[in-house]
Amino acid sequence: MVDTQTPIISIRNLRKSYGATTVLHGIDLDIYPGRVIGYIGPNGAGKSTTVRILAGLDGHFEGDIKVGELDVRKDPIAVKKKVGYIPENAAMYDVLTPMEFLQLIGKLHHLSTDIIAERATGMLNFFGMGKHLNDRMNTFSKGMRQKVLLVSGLLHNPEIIFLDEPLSGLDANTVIMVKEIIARLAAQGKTIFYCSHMMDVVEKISDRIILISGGKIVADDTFAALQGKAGTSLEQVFSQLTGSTNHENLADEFLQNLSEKTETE
Amino acid sequence: MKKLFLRFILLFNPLWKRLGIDTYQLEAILEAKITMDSRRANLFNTSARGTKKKLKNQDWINIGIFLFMGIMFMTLMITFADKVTALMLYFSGWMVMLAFTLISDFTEVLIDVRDNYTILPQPVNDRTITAARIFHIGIYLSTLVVAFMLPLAFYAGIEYGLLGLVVFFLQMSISVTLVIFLVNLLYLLILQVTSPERFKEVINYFQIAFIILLFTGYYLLPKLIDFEDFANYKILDYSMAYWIPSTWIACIWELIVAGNSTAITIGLSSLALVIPLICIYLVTSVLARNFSKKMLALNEGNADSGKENQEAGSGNWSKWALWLSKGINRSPVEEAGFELTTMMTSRSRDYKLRVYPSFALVPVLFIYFAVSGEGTVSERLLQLSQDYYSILIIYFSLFTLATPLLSTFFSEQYQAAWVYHALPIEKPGEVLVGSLKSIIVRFFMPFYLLITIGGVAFWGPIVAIDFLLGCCNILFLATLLIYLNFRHLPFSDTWANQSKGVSLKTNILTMFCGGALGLLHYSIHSMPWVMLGLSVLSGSAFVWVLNNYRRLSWRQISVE
Repeated sequence: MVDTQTPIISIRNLRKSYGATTVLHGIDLDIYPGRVIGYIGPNGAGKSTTVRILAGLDGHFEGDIKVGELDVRKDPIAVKKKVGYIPENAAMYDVLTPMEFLQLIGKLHHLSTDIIAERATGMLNFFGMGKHLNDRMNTFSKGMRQKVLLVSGLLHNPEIIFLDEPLSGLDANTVIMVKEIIARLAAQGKTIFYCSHMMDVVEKISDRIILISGGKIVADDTFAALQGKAGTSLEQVFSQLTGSTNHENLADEFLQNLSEKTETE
Repeated sequence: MKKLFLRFILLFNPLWKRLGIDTYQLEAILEAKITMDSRRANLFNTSARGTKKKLKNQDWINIGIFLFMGIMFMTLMITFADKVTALMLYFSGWMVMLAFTLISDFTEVLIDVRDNYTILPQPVNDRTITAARIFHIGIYLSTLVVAFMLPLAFYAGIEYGLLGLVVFFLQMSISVTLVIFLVNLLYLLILQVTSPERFKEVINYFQIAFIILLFTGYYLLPKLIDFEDFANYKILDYSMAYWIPSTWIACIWELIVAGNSTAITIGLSSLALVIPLICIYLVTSVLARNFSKKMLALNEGNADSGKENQEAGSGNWSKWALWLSKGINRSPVEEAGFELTTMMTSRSRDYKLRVYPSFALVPVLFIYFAVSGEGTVSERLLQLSQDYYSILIIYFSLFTLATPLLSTFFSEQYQAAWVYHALPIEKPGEVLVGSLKSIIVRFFMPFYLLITIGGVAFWGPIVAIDFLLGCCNILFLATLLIYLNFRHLPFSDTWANQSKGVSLKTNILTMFCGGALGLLHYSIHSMPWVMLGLSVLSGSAFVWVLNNYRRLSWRQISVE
């Protein structure tokens, strides 16, 4: 049985800056296994930065992060073995076929050719990509690429999965399937870290929602609890807590730009 | 062939393991990289860029070209009596070719941002990544080196036996070391003075320079060199040559194989041996540290950010273009076409790569034709003072209008042409005319003005009328041919279609009609008044075609 009482990820006072601009102003978090964490926040709040640091991709930060027993800064390779990272808008080697691409990723995780082929075929078939296993990806649509990327992040059966806007470009049926898969993975004791702007999805799948704004955590609770504090839907909670409530007036101001006086002719 | 090199590298797996390299991962990365290389359009096959065509075996194109060049250069060893001269030329050609190929063709492989998304998130240690990169370059280099040296290696082996072969291998390794050092140094210098985004820009100019160099060499060298004389040429008679690294390398042969041990051959040979050692030391100790740091910065995401600011930052120029655009265009739609083309042509690297070499083509072709014919080179050059030669250069400058113009219809991002269809444009001809004007103003006019000034200075004011008539004729001809043949919207087609179909037909027609007009012009060259009258006629015809072009409707535009 998975120990659900000891945190699998613990973050202490995480700070990160790019040159003079500070992106993260001290984040403290404990994440327990078998949960789905919805990580939300306005554009540029530092969501992707957090995920990159947690996945061991960026060692230049202040604070302490432990993934299981491992220190992310000291042993990023060991951390990378445990996690699956599915980045947003990832550039891919698109002259390769999905199979060739997944062979590369799988081998970097020391899986054997046969196991990779078996898993990749199975998972891509599930996504209805069976016919395209050996087509080059430069002809693929956004959704097809996203499916390959999802498979690449799950191929080595990671304990922790970081998903950055994983549903973009996917059709409705696939979205339902992916949501179902996420729930099953969590039930198996895996930890899912889910970044997204799609509030309705986050609201439904997350056990716990963390909202960051301006590089700080502004809310951290279950959806039900957040609902009690600040509104009926996650969308409303989001607006309340990120301090952007007066949307009607803002929309009026926006449309002012199109009024007669600014027209050139 | 690359797979073979890969197997060879993997033979040393126990050694790599002891160095902390994960050989299972190393093999996976190299295999993927080699597969990608073979599907990547290279410098010698630019027309395939930006297409979705399935490219295969691109490596073999490179190998074939290097093998062919190897054979060409090998013949130097047979034609020249003086082997130092032959080898000096051989290694000069080889080193220049290798350097340019490395810089222009391999840079995009070396700086692959996608590695950040694919390899970096996986549990791969730094040593394995570095080793994969070094071996990848090594494999790429080896294929080129082997292809190029094979012909001469055979010749040296047969003619001079084992000693010749060994010395040749030694010379070859020295030349490769020197080239790698120079390329390294150059990268560092470029990185010192520019930002990562500009880096690719600078590389782009290297590619352009390489193409110009190739065709200049192809056209002019055989014309300018008198081979009978040249075969008895001795490079060591010229002390200038002592400064050139390929002379040092050539001297090793003279010293060991020919056994000609003079102070000069001993001195230069030792230079050839010592300098590479110093280079290796510099690269590994001083430069490498700096280099990998810089390369890392280049690889990190910042290559994308801040791009806009830098690229659009040519402030004065865009202001000037806007002002001009208002002045010479008739409607906002025409202005839009003008501005779009001005911006696209000044920023698209791909466009520059295809168009800029054509400007160098004009002087090269001019000299080529001028020196063809009877007599020695100097006699032929004397003939140039005859003023009818001005007609030759006038009609060659048709290229500086036709090539940029025909290239405006293609783009790597041809899908972006949807905007024309989404907008309520009544007459797409207006966009086309705006675009045409941009090309005339941006490319043709400055060039033509330059050669007019040069021409008048060289042949005297008498040729001014020739240049006037030529200008009107070129404008009329190019516009007419585009109007009749080529009804595409700007930047709306893939480059793959550039070398076939209507585009090819238009190109050939342009050359043919340009030649015919040139001949007509030549026949009335002695009658200034007739030329003046014809200029007015031709100029009015240009305006008339332009007006018709402007009126093109959607039905007359071909949509892919």
